[in-house]
Amino acid sequence: MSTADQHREAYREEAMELLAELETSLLDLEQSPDDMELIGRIFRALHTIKGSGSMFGFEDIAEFTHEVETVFDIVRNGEMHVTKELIDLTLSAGDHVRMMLDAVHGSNAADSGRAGEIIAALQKLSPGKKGPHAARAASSEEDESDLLHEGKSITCRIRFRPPGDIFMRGINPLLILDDLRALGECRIVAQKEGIPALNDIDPEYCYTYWDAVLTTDKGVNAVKEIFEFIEDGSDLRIDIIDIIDDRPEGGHKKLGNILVERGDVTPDELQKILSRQKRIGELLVEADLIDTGKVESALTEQRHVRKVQEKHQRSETGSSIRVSSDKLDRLVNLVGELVTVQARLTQTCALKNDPELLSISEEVERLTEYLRDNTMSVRMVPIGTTFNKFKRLVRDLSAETGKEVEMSTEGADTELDKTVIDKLNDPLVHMIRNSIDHGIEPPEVREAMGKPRAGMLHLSARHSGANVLIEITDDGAGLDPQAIRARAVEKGLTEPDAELSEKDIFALIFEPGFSTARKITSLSGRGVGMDVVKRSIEALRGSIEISSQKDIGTTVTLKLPLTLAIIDGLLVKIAEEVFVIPLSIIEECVELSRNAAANGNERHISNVRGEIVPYISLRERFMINGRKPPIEQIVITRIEGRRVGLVVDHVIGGHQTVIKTLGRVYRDVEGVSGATILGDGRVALILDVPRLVQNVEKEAAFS
Amino acid sequence: MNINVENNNGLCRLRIEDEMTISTAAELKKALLDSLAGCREIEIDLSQVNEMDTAGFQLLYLARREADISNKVFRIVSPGPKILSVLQLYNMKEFFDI
Repeated sequence: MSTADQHREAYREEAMELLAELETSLLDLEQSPDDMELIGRIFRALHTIKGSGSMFGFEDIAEFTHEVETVFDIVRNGEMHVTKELIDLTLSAGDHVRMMLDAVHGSNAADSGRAGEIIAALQKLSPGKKGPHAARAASSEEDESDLLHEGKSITCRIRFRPPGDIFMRGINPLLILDDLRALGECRIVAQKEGIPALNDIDPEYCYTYWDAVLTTDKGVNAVKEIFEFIEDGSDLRIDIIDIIDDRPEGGHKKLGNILVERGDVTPDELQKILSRQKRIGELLVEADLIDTGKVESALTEQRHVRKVQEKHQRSETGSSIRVSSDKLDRLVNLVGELVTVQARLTQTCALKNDPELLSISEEVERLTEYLRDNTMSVRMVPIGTTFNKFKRLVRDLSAETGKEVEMSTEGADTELDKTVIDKLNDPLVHMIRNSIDHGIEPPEVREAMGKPRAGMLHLSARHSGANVLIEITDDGAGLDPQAIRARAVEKGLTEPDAELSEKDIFALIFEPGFSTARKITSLSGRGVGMDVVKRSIEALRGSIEISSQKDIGTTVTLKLPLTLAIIDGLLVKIAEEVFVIPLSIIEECVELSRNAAANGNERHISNVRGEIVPYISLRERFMINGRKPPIEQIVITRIEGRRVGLVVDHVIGGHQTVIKTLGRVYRDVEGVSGATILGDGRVALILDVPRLVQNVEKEAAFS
Repeated sequence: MNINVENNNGLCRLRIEDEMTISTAAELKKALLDSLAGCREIEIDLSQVNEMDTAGFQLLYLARREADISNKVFRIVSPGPKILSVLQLYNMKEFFDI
């Protein structure tokens, strides 16, 4: 990749992020159309897309974005209101920019006619008196200076002396100062020295004036705007002080410090002398050159500057860098190899029984574990970005179906492996579509049922042990078990007289070829949905569950592992074969004596402290020859809320399992989800327990 | 506004009710002046005040300054959240010993 290509790729990534931000801001703006901060954010996003676009040779994008930006400039100046049309158009403008970016990447070329349409529609919306270019010319100069400061923090020193009759004009200076404080970090000192004696005072006259120090990223114009309507008669001074370059640390050393360093005086002596010396402020006041209020104000400024500088330094150290996910994948692979080698090292050391070697190997084991955890945490990204994407989806879908839907999210900062998040997108889209299409009723129907007109769709994510739970809840019609059952019988998925719990019935939805919607819409209902969803969730080694109440709503719960690359597993042995069972699903291990097995009459049921637990004999399942040991072990797992045992010869112990996918030939092998390399170089298969249980159940049902 | 004055052996207790704003400033000034003239110690109960603007603040400040000059004890009693936020904004809580 040439440098130019790299830059263009970097621009593409940055633009995609800005577009996502633009979309989120637009959707928020729809909820609160008067939020100037949001309008500013949208404007800045557009401005950056445009600016860097022309810098990296995307002239068409720059040109197109410029037109959209112009409209938002008008909005920002308060000459145009935010309407639904504007939001719609800007959203599609964003989509168009995305298409233009993709076109550069080699996919289908963007339709230039579409760009013309969007711009024409936008221009129609903006007030006629100013064409976009005129507006640009008029405000461009102020614009640039404003943009220079916007996004970047500035600190101003403000002295505000209102006219004496300000109270009589019905203006409360307190409110103005409140506005000022809303702009950023602000310290205010009230100057009262001008107030005469109580006897002489006109109580309705304002004698007080204020000094303020403010650090804001809203630009100096925002500060000026606050004072705009009382500027007449006021004494107002706003000075920008550059604090970032003004670091005292870079200056010369103080005399006292040098003397202490040379050992000419002790720090105690210095302190004593210094305490005798009056502060400069006190001296000035004593000499009657200034009053204490002014000193207080200057000290406040000093404190403020110090605080902002501290903050600035902290944010500098907390910066981040962008790394391509390929590099991360490579890193994770290497860590995986390291974990494998480390397992070998541990095993070899244990055989040699050399204490010195053992302690080294333990040290390496500990470090490897840290390295593993840290590397994994680098791959973790918050699910919030994915949630935000769905806001747009929900908006579009509710427009399409004529339903009103309010989406809320929870736990957006829950972190998941990037690969998991990427693969989660499609299933989530599908389920959200299902909720809106089948679940949430049209507004009139909802009203008639006494529900609020707008349906509720709630997305939540939270950690639960080594898993993440994602829930999609709606307050729609809920699932009708009778209808599902009837449908399943009709499709030949179950027997009419089968005894099914509600949970079993809901599980039928995930069967291939199932669909209850009589009507096929573009959204869902083609019967290819939920089984695909289930398969893709299971491919992520997760599980899916539905709970629902008729007329109250439906909740779909996804349970996903935190990461796909390395898991904690339990090594078990059958004859000479070693298998790995994911530790996260294991509840306990118990013994199965030959007698107990015989008592079960070959029915594969054991009695664990009075509880009946069915089990699967892996020896039989995988057709492994050889003699059973007199006492076998049952590893009890929890699958979809039920306890199921797996019978093995021996339990070896815990194992950090680096997951290797099986080759193409073995991809369809059921009951095995991957393989791992053991310390002695042998390969162990990782069991896909849920699938194993399902298959056994199916076979039992048909036999 | 309503001001309740109670003078007891040189200790003057003022209980101000409702607002200390521009609309009551003249009345408030008089009350403060009168009370200060005839006492050694002044205590201002702000618990019933629900609003204070800069005019009110100026008077409160002056009363304190006047008391300091004539060596009288000055105390503010139970200021509500509204009052506190104004004093906080003006960086004056220490001045009033709050």
